[in-house]
Amino acid sequence: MTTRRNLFKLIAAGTAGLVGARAVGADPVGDPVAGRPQGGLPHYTPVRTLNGWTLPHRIVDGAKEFHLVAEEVDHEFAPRCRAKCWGYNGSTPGPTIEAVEGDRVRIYVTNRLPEHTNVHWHGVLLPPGMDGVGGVSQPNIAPGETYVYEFTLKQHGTHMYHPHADEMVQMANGMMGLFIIHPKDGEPERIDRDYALLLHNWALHPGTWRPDPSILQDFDLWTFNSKVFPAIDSMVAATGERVRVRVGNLSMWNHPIHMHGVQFHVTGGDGGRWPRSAWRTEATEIVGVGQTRDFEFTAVPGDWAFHCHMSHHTMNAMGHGIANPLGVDSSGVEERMRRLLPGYMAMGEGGMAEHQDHTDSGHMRGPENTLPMMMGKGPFGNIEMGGMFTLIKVRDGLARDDYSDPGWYAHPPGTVARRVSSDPAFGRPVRRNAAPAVDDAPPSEPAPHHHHGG
Amino acid sequence: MKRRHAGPLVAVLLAACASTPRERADDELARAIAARQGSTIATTAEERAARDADVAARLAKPIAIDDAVAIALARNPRVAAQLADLGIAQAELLEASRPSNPSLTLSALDSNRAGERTKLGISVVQSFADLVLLKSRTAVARGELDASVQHSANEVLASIADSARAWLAAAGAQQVAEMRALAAESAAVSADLAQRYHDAGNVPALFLAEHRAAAVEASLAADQAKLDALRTSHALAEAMGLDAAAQFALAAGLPLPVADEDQLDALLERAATRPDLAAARRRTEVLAGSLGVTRKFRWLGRFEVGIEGERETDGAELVGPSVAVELPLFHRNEAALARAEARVDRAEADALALETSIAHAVRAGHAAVAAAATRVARLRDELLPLREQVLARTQERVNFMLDDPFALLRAKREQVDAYQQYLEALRDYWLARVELAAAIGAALPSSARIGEERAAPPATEEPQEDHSHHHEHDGGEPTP
Repeated sequence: MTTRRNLFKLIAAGTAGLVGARAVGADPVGDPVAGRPQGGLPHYTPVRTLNGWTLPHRIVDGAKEFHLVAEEVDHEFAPRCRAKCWGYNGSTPGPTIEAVEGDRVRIYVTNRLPEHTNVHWHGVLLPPGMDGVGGVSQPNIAPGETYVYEFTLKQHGTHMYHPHADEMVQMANGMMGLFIIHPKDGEPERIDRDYALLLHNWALHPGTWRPDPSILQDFDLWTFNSKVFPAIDSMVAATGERVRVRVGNLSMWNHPIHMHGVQFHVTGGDGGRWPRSAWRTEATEIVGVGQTRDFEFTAVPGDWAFHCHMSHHTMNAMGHGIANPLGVDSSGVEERMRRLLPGYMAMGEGGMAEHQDHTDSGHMRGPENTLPMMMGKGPFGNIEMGGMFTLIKVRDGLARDDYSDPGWYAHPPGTVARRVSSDPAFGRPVRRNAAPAVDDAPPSEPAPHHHHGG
Repeated sequence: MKRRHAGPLVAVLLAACASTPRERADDELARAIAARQGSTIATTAEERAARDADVAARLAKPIAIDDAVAIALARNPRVAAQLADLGIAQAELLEASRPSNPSLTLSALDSNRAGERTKLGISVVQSFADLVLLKSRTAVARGELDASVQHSANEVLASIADSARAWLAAAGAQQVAEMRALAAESAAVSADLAQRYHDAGNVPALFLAEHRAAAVEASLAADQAKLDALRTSHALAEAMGLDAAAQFALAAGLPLPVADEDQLDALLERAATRPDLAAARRRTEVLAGSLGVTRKFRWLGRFEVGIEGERETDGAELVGPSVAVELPLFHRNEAALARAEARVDRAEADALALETSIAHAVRAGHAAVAAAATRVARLRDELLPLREQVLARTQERVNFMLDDPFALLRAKREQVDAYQQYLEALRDYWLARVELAAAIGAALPSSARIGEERAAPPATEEPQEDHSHHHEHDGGEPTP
């Protein structure tokens, strides 16, 4: 029986959910409808999913009720690169499910994909029948059907959700999401900014609009929350704030995630927060496939790069197996090529650094729907990055709920690397003597003839 | 001689002096040719002078297909040979239209008897059969001449077709040589670029060797194509009747196919009056007429009429007519009749065979032209644009360093190959039209609708702007 008061709460919850879904996420303490789930509700800083959103919930029969819809989504990796992907509730990754240790959650999953699916709650302790492994835990959810999962959260930590049916295809197309469980007793140390992101890889071949699930290693796009640089949100913080970055990896490769400017602590993962004695100070932490890791640090002013340290994961689509142009002098030949092919220009003789100038100029068009390998412009010039790269921007005095981009860091005088000479012969650097030549002479000289035997 | 016998003699003599009007067989040939196509042969001195000036003017600039045809008409020795052949037929007509000359026999016989005078004899004999058959013989010879005119017209049209074929072969070979040269340059650039990559230590010797081998192969093919172009150019000079030292240039570019091809009915109608068919039919007529005459006069053997005079040894003078007649004792000209009949049968069969083969040739030629036009259209409208797209999309990949320049040069070579296919198809289309024109023995009516547009060279992308200004080029705001 629904009383008028409960009805009012329900309506308000729905409205608040709709309004709050794309915003930071209301402080549950001030949320009149969150109620008081089991064991009270301590304060937590709602997680901020880069480029993403948190799924609103309703309280129904004492449980937080969520509704996921598995469906095809039209996704933009960055402006001028879109694809038909698969995700939840209109996005890839799907919306972040955020709850508190001790909550009872009820999650509806409607399948609007062309094939069956299910959802596995990665790292979550629950009854075996709620585990979401097709054939083992439950029948698969056929297209058009809705299933319900219900369990009580017995842990806290950074977790994920993803299909456990036709995973190669469904995950390659983008089906995954974050499941953040806050500790029931609150954070031992207050977290001022709590960011979360999922690592992923896509075989979106140049000139196509749909990821290719048959690719196992040679991917084209590497993403944070299904976005590539320069479209990845920056992580913003005020000087001195305690920042947590949660990283989950549902890609096909391990990623050494590197943060500039600070030594962060690795403080936990989907096992929850580790004891302090188990914390590690790192500048780079490998997040393996299937793992989550929490990084925490105190924000230091500046614009700091945050990226996977595999250099090809910070590039957008690149050629594989093409002839290497480094060091090739094509003078003379290039003119003859241009007579045959007026659009041709030799590139790469001195490396790739000039590439972004060419692609930015707009005169060297690439295949349709394909991002140039190197993108982004900073205050000092081209950033020449792509893929798994973003910036942590820390400024003095940023308001607590201000997540807007603060622009570029204003460097105090004398703290910027500066040029002292344009003469390559400047100074007297000490060099190590060159190593003696080996038997295989470089191709420009005839190889010395060795006579064996005798 | 008694005066009363002089009359017939004078009549005969006068008849002998009369001649048929001098026919201008070469004029008829010129008209016969003009009836089948636009231009024709020169027959008068003024026409020849004008024609020579025209030929010189045409040779002074690059020659197109109609230039080749015009020059062949003027200079090809086969054309002159046809005129000579006609001269022979014309001579035969002349011969046939005149009766044979009478014979005069004179004798002076001395007697061995004393007192007798020399016996003098004179006779003038004219073949009467000749006179009787004169009109028929003339008609037959006239028919033969008509047939020869048509036959010669056909030969001239055939040598025109040969010169058109030779021009197309030469123009086609020249364009193929250009395409092979372009492909060879592309392969050479590939090889030179591979050499630079190898010099930098970036590709193995195998890579270099493969590219250099491909360059040599392409270069050999280009040399072969140049040789073909040279050979066909000489063949064209020969077809046009130019001497070996003559210099000329070929006009670049073949015209595009006509918008509307000729209808089969119109072609068959035109083919029905093809000169050699007309000649065959005329010959059949002539032989049938000749058969009629042979039948009518089968009894007429040798028949001579004459006047004889004698002065006897005793001085007596005798004069009087004489007649010699062949007696049809052992034969009545059956052989001649049989021969005439057989000749008619043969001529009829030949004419029918020719008519049938012309009809087949026209139908087949019409279908061949349609097929050739379709092939040209499909290459131009389907294959070439797709090859350009392949090239443009490959260039995009190279722009983003997703592919290397070697892939681009491969795509370029494929485009050149496709373009060569197109040019060859265009040449084959015009060759099919020449065959069809030869089948109808006349210029195709649609030739009047050949447009000015020529096949364009292979499309390449828009030239990119100069890239050296990138530093000043602000691509946009710094990325936030």
